[in-house]
Amino acid sequence: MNVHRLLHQASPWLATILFFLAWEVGCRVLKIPTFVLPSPSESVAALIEYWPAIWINAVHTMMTTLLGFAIAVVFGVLLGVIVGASPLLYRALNPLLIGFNSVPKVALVPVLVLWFGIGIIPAVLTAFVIAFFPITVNVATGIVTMEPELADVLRSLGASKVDILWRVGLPRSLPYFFASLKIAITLAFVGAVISETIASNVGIGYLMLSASSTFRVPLVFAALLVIAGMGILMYAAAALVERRYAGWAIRSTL
Amino acid sequence: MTAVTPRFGLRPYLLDRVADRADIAPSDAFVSVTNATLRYAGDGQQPPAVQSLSLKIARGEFAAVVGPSGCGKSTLMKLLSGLVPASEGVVCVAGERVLRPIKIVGMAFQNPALLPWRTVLENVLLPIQIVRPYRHEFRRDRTPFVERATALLSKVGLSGAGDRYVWQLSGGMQQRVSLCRALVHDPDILLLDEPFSALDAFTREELWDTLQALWLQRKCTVLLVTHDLVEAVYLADTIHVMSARPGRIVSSTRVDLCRPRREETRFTGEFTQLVHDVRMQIGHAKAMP
Repeated sequence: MNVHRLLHQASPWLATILFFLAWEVGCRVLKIPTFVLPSPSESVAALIEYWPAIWINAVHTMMTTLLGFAIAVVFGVLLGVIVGASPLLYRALNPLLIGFNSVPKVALVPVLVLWFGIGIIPAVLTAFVIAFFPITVNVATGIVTMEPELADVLRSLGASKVDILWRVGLPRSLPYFFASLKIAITLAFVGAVISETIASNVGIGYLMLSASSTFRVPLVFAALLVIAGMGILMYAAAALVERRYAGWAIRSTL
Repeated sequence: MTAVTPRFGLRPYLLDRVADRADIAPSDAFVSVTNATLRYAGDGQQPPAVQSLSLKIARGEFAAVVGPSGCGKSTLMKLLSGLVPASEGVVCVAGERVLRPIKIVGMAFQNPALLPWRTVLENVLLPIQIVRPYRHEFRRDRTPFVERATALLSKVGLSGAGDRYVWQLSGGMQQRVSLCRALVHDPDILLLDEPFSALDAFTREELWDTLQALWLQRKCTVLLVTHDLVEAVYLADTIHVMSARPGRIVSSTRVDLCRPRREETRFTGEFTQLVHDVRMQIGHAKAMP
C-alpha cells in the first residue's frame, strides 16, 4: 500500500525524468545532429550559457502574457455572465463567438501590427483574444446549468435576476471559471509567443526566432523549456487559487 | 385571529397584508383556482397542460394532489406560486389574484436543489437573504435568523449538522434540509412537488412523520403533489385526483383520520379503504379523455 502511494506521489517527477532520459538517450544512440534535435543536456547548457538574455526575454514574455491574461479574465467573465444570464444574448452572440474563436490567431497578428505597430501591444492583444474564449464559455455554462428547481424556489420568493445571479449563478460557475483559468493561462502563453515570433524584437518568441535563423538550435530548445516551465508554474498557480476558492467542488479530497 | 399569530416571535409581515385584504376576498378558501387553463408557449398543437382546473384549499389545510404521470401536477404548483400566470381563469391565494411570484410560499422538490458551496445552515438561510424585509434585517443582525434556522434543523432531526456541507449528507437528510429551507421564512403556503419520491421506503416514512409534525405545529396551508397514494392518505386532509393531460381535478376525497397519524394508522381498514377508493378514482381519471 505504502509503495503504491509513494509511486502515486512521485509519478509526475518519474514521468518527466523518464521523458528527458528517453530524449537524451535517443539523441545519443541515434546520433541526431544538434541542429536537428539537440539533447536535453545541450539545451540546458545553452540555457545556462545564454541565461541573462533568456531571463530578460522570459520576464518580458511573462509580463505580456499576464497582462493579456488579466484582460482576458475581466472581459471573459463579463461576457460569460452576460451571455449566461440572458438567453437572448446567448442566442444572438453565439455564432459571432464561435466564428471569432475559429479564426486562427496567427492570422490576426499582422492586422494588430498594422494597427498598433511592432511591440508589446499586439502580443498582449493576441494573448487576450486567444485566452478569453474558454473563460466566457465556462462561466456561461456554469450559470446556464443551474437547476430549474433552484431558480423556481428563488423566483417564487420574489428574487430578482440579479439576486439569482449573485446567490446562485456566480457561485456555481466558480469551479467552471477556475477550470477555464488553467486552460486560459496556457493559451495566453501561446498567444504571446506567437505574436512575439511574428512581430516583436523582444521576448522569448523573438529570441527563438532569431536563434533558429542563426541555427542555434540548442538555444531554441532552451527557450522552449523556459516557456514550458513558465506554463507549468502559471498552471500550478491557477490550480492553487482554484483549490482555495472552489474547494467545495473537489469533494474527493475531503 | 389565531392564524396571524407570529411564529418564532417575529412580526407577521406577510400575514398582516393577507389579513388586510381579507375584506375583499369573500371566499373562505385560502387558495382558490377557478377554471384555470395553462398552455405553455411552444407546445403548439398539444393539449394545454391544465384545462378548466378548479380547486379550493382552506387556510391551514393539508391538501394532496394525485394523478397519472404527466397530468400537470407540477404545473398546478407553478400556477399557485405565480411562477407562470394562467392563460385563462383565475388563481387566488390569500385573497389576492396571483399574477406574479407570491413570495409567501415555500417550495420543495424531488431534487433537494441545495447549494453545495454552502453549509447546511447557510442553505436553510437562503430564503431569508431573498425575501423582503428579512433580507435587510438579516444584513443588520443574523442572530435571530440563525437561531430560527437552528431550531428548525433540530426539529427535523438535524441538530448539530448545521456546519456540515450538504454533499456530506444522505439523500434523506438533504431532503430534510430542503424542507427547512422551504419553511424558514414562515411561508403561508407550502408547495411540495414529490419531495419524497426519490427516497427509500424507510426514510420516506420517517419524513412523512417529520412533515406531519411540522405541519401540526405551524398549521400552514400545504399542497403536496405526489404519486404515492399511501403518502397522500397518510398526510392529507383532502386528496384531489387529477385527470390525464389536459389536467383538471376530477374528484376530491376528504380524509378524516385523526391526527397525529401514526404508523399503525396505515394498517387500519379505514386507511386501506381510502387508498383503495383513491386508486379507483385514478383509474377513472386515466380513462377520461
